[in-house]
Amino acid sequence: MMSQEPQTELLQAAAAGERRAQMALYQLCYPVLISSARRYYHNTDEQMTVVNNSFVKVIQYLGNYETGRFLSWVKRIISNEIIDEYRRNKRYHELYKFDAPVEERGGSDFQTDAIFTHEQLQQMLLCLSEPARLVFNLFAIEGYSHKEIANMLGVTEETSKWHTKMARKKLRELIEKSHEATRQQSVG
Amino acid sequence: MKQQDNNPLDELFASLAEPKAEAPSAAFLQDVEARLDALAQKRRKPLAIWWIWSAFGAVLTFGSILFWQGAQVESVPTSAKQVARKTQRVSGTNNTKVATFNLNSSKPNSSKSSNTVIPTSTHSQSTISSTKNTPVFSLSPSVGASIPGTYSISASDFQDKIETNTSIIDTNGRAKDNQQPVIASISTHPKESAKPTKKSQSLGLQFGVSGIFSSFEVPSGSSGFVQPFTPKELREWRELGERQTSSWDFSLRYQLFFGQWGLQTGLSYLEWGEQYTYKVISVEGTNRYQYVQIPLGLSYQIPMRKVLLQPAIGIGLGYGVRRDGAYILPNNNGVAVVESKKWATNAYAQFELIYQVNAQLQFSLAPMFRYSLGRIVSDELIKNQYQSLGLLTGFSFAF
Repeated sequence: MMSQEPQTELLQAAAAGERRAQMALYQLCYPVLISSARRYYHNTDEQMTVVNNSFVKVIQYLGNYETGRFLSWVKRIISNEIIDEYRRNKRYHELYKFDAPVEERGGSDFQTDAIFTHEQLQQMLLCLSEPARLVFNLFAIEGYSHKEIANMLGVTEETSKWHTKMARKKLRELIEKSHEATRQQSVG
Repeated sequence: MKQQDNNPLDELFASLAEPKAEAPSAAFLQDVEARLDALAQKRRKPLAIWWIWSAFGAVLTFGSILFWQGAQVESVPTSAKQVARKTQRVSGTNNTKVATFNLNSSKPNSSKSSNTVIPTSTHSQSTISSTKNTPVFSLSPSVGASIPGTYSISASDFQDKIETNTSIIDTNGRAKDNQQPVIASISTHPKESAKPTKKSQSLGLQFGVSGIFSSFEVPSGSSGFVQPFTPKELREWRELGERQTSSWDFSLRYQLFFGQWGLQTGLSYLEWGEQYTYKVISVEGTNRYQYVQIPLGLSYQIPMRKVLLQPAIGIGLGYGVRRDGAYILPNNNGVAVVESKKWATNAYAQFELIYQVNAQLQFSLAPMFRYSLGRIVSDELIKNQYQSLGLLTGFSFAF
């Protein structure tokens, strides 16, 4: 479930610079921010940087926020911050590196009866290459289209699709490996 | 947002989009407090680097003008009126009054300077001497003689004609012995001429800062855009979110002169770009497209005493060494990453003020205007052209 939306008074006080209101807002935004950060970064320091930078931007631009779902707005801020960080570090050049076409094995007939925890899924995501993780996160979890991703990252739609397929292939392997491990444990 | 294609794998991971209730650790809280403190203390810099450099340039320009004017005052007056100002009243130790000297130069625009020195004298017989190869004229009255009338001095070497009207009033009505002679001397300093030699070369460095101004076009069609899109909105977002930035300029310059005309080339570093703060998507940053270019220009030197004015125009072909930039997307979902052109051309015009320290060394100050020829960024969405106005300072060695 999405966290509770903040009250207008709290937003106004935070925008006016009241520290207690800002910290209360931080507590409210934190689950949204950290769950996004964990999908992209292994390292706690990197997670902290992106979470807190995003929150500072939330405070900075709070005056511009008008109506709508506040936490969706916060999500968008952290997504932009991650993309911006990715771009600043020139990591996005890796997005252009792809070679053989990927055969997507059983794209929509994938089924699993295993139950994975949040942590397990996050760990699997972090096993992906940086560009594949970025594109898969944006496409499968945040719900952007390939066209939008292509525009945001400065790549073609085909590149975005290719990285998504690569990510799916890798994730499927990881899930199968996890199944195998569980089966062996139960047999043993 | 995409149309869901119901891939079960995607759906499995889509569950990560829902955050779990969680409290931040002490480290996170401490860090965010520090960042909020910094944000609260952050003030807008009232003096951006552009303004500091503009002020520096203005001081340099003003100083150069003052220096130039000072040099003019110290040099020889070339009209009778100016010379009259330099007239000196000399009173002798024996009640002698030495009155007016008028020096008229037949070449009012000569760059040669003269100094007139008139010590006290009551000598009544004068001799005027001019040493051919020495740029000094002297008027030396003989002992005990009064100096009547007018003396004319012609110096063909210097192409100056000097008329000297000298009258000395001896208030005691008699000549005195052992008095100091009256000496009128004119000295010329050939090095003060700023006329360029017939053919010469120079190599120098220029550096400075420019303000960059961008102009952009918004494509009228909707192809390539995620709907809903209106060109008007994109234009407004960009106009609101983007502003000019400043850049460093460096230039290694070689000049070849034929008389007063000169050809310029070398290697320059310049930047195009803009600052952006897209508040609607909470993204800010600076686009900097960095180019190394070979300029080719034509200049003309206008000598003015120790100072040369050198207007120049030219074009440059640049190779992009950093070309990535970001702009707001029309659907407000983030930024589009674009690349500027690998090769870009620009035209420039500058008006250089050059101070000649000596025959070899020159210092210069040059306001410069650059204009990109064609678009620097020519993407489906983003189409940018740039102009810049800057101030370069530098030095060069003639050889």
